[in-house]
Amino acid sequence: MRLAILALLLTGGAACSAQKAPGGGDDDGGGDDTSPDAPPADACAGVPAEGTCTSATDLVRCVDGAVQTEACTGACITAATGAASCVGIEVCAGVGPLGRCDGDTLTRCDGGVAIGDCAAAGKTCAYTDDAVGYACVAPASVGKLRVAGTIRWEDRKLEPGVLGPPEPVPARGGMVALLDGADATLATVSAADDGTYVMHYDAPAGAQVRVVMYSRSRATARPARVRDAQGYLHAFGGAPFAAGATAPQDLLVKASATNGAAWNVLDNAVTAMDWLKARGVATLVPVYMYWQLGARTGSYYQGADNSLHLDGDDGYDDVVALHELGHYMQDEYSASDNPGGAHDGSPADPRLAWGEGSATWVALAIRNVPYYIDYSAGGGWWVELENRVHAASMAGGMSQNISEWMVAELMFDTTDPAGEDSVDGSVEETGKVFFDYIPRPAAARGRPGIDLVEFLDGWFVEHGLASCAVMRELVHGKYKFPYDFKGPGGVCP
Amino acid sequence: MRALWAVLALCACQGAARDEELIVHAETAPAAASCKPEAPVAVVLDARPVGGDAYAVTVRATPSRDVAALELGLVLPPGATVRGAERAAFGATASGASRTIVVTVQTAGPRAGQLTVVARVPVEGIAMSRTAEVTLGTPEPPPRTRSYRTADGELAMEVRP
Ligand SMILES: [Zn+2]
Repeated sequence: MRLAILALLLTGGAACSAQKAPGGGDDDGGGDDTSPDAPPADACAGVPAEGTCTSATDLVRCVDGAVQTEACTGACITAATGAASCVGIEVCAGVGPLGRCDGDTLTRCDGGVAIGDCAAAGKTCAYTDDAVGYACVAPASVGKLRVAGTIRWEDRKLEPGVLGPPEPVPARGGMVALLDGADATLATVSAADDGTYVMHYDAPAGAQVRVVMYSRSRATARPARVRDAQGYLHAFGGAPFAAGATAPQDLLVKASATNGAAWNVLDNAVTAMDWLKARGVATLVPVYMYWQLGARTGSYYQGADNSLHLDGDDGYDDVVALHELGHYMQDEYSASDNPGGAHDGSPADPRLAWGEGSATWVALAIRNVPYYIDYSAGGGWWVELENRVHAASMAGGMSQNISEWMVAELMFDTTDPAGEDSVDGSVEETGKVFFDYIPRPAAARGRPGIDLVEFLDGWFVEHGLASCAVMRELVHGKYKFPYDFKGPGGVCP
Repeated sequence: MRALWAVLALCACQGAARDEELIVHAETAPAAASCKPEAPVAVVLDARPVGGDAYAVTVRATPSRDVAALELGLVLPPGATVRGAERAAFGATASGASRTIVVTVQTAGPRAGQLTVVARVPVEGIAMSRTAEVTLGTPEPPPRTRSYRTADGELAMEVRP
């Protein structure tokens, strides 16, 4: 049930430029049309110099008496002045799945770019619901008062041993609400990916209201929330103001706030869910994340209730959060038979190595950075997983204990371009095995249950035997893992 | 399923509740249910006020597997100094054997600050670490908060600026 995006065509509103086109008939030696009083020749047949959109992505303009056509990479838009111009797909960086309102200009990026003027259609740009988001709607269908602003939080960039200085970033898709003095909610919306939001509401004249941002993404495309250890959604409220005031209501959660990192945790979930969507996952299952500064809960994921728990000092640990979201992906969209138990990267049950190593691969692949990092006071610890090799033993069997690091290293090698290793891979190729084969393996080999052997079997089932030589160099040569290359995908020569 | 547990307790000794009798304590250890790789070492940190904004600090680290080396280090609160070795490097340590350091930390005043101990052990060629942390001094007052239900019934805890 999608809202129809505003038609972008603007026709008939702009007259062609009054300037005469060069060579437009005044030098042909005769005729009254050379009179200064004669109307100018319309060489462009009505196409204005300032341009007009002829479709959502086509722009025409009159240049030196000739019609020029431009195919926009994103969309053709018409300004309030009537002038048309092209915008690129880059405008979508700040939009997200629920669209964005800028005044009464609606931007949607559902497949392509669509920018329209709601007011021109007698409508207003407003939030409808968590499935559609922002749309052009009848003014009577929303509250009479309007408040807009931007919600942000302070990120701290994670690098090995270092957390960078606080840096304001948009709360992408974050939940925003307007509350009255009794904490009753007057309106609830989601911010666009640039943190901007628009809320329409009704309130008595003079009532004091405030804008509050929550650590939750309400979009059905990104169903995630972050609660404290007691189960409360984190929230950050602005100063009260008189209902009807039109000044922007901007919020910024500082990194020094006790709940500041909650929005970093949420942002990782948004990133992971967008990554899943890009991998072809159509319907996202909600994830319930728990983080509270100082809480010593440890970091783990529970499939029974899709709850993801982050330790109190993991608030800015993007890799740890994405690793745990990797377990969420295993639970919902791939598979793992991880027996659990404490682990430190040393050789362990290959099913644990698969569960932990492939979850780490998710974090590495999303960030495209081959480092596992667990930051804490004093710098924490980290491991580089591109050049380092945690090899198995060719003297062992396919069901031998292996390191979770080796699983992550090998999977990253099948993800990145050739260079550091023999395989010229991609996220799509490795992801196809992770998402398509692993949940439904054709054979159970190695240790009973899902382990690295199933991944390697899946590689050849999904991609054929063309990569036998480079995979043998990787698996036998680099990692000393005695895979037999005789899986359900065929026998490698 | 509960993973890593740490205990942070303010333990008032019997008798008069003088500041000198308050010990701050923290401990962390590998958790059977943790989903992230963790350093195989347990850490216990005790800080006992000895007057004049100084604390007698005892750190004990116990690996849960044989390790080739064990290193302990302190991250001090801003402005604090330490009497004794701020770092200590031990050699190979067997599973279950403890390594201990005892130092005195002089803080810059009664205002609170975090004292962290970092224990590092090599595993598979990686220097993995575990921390334990206590607050020395008078803690900052908690932020102003209010709790309520959002429009769809979810509980929320709002921090006000
Ligand atoms: Zn894990």
